[in-house]
Amino acid sequence: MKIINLFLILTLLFLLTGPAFSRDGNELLKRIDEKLMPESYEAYRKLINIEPNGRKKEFVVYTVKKGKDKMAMLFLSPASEKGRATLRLGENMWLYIPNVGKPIRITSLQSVTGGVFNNADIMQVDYSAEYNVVKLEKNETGYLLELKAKNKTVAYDKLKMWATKDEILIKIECYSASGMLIKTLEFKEIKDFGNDVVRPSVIETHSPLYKDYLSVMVFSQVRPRTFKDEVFSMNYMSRIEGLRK
Amino acid sequence: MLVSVIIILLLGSISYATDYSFEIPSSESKKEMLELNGNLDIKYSIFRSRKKSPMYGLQYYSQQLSDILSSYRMEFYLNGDYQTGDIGVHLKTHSEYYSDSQTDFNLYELYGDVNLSANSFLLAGKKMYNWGKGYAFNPVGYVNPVKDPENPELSQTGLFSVNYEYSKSFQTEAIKNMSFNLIVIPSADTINNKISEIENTDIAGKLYFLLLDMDVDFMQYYSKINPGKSGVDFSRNILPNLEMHGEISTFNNQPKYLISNNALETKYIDGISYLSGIRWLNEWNITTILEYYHNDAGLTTKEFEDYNNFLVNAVASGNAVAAFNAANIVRSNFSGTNLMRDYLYLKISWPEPFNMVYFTPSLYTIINTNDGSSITGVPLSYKPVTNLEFIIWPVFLMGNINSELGSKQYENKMELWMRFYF
Repeated sequence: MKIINLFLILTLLFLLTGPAFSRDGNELLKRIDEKLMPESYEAYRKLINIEPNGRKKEFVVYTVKKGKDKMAMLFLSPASEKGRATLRLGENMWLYIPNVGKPIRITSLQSVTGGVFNNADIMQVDYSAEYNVVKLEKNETGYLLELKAKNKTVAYDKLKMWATKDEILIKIECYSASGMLIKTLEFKEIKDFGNDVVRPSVIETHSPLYKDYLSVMVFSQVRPRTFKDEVFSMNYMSRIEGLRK
Repeated sequence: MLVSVIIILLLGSISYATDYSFEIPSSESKKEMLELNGNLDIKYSIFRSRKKSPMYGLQYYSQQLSDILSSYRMEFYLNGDYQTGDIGVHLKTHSEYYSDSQTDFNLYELYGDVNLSANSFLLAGKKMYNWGKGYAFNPVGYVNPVKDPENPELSQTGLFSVNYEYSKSFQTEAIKNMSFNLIVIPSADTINNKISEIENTDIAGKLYFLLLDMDVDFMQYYSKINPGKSGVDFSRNILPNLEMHGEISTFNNQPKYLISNNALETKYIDGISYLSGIRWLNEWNITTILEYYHNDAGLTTKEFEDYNNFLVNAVASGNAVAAFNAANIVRSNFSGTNLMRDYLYLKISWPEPFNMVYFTPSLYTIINTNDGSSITGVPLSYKPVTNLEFIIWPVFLMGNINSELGSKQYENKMELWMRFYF
């Protein structure tokens, strides 16, 4: 009887604490998302691919985002890429090339810029939209979260995420379903962008799959701004330039 | 020693910071301005002639030429955009220079557009449209320029038209976006190249939905003088790395040009045209596009043989007038890139293989499944520095002399491109 009681108590504890832990973890993830970016914003970014010999390839992009999973991006330079645009609606992604004149579907695994960043990194929506927290550790320096993708269409199956005590993201390791480390993202140089946006201004990524290559994403301006839902549609991709003020 | 290390670290951190600062093109205080961009292509081509080809016979009638021909040309694409708030004016031009006496200028696009509201948009002028989900062929491309399956991403001339667009987003799981396009196309059948009859105005409509994560379009083309057409297309990621697409179109009174009894004959037919395809990205970052295209309005094998015999007879006649007339018929009625009914298209592209950065080799092949002829190209692109691209592009045409692609005037060709972007 004692054993049965003990089993019932343990089961009850598990049922009560399991969801509570999961809720805590997912709430923390939402707060980390909120600190990383306003829910709706516009931003200018530079993407830099650095080769082992030091040569660089650079792209400047204008990005707009709304809600948890709507994002559009316009290439401003170099001239060879100018006018290209990408759109993400949840798991749907499209690429618009001015000469082609229509958007084509792309996947989160591809890379429109080459280098270590793929489309999922460049068009990153809220982590809480794509992942659930499966493990949460708190220590003196901050948090370590283990995340699992909500479905198979997400680019990385598992993430390990480090955040400070202030819930500011500092590092992410991306893993495949088989547990292989695909890449590491490091969030650096915290900057006050104004309008209460304080976040890392540089993201560096490297990958064991691209030895000695480094890709860097630099944020220049991040401003909260709201947009109509229709901005995030295929027909609007050729007109994103008109949003810049 | 310690001081030296600190100085080195400081200098390092300064250069590090400098590396990461950047100017925003036409920055924040973006003023109304005209932005110009484009590219200059320098192209050198070498052709190995197929002298037995009737097309060769017509093109170089009674000329004795070397087996290997070459061409050297410049192509200049100049684009301009003026945007102020909700109003924009856009320009795309193409100029081709062979020599001072052989220069062409094409106005690809010139249009103005205005955002009437958050949901509606109006465009007027000359604009290139690209309907359909197919990469190499578009059965529902009712308003598209004729596509070159060998280079589907080539900029092309637009359509003089007015386009009204309405779009709406929804917060539902099933339908996330919808849009409607209405394109009004004044008749190209003009009097004195200026005036046309109002009842000959064509109207094209397209209704789009993002439905359950699938792009779906319904199209309709209405015309009094051109064939009426209805169609539907779709595109969807069935796996994260596998996209599937398709198009189907029905048409009425489509003119079909044939050669019957050594003379041009026009039949008006009803039928369908369709395409199905996939786009697959594998773990090596290799993208593969595979498409099958069918067109009821295309020539059968027998009909193509009759057409080819007509050309052979025109060349063999030794009559310059007959050859000239045959060349005119080819130009006016058989100038498409895919004259027959069934084609298979395959393209494989591998960006930066084996860590060879900025190098992208591709391979494509178009197989005419009716007569077994094929064209295969291997474009090799290398972008060593920003805004400069080199392309080496060998092309091989195979098939017997009576087949569509085996009867072309060249057996193979090699193109060398130097492309400067600005």
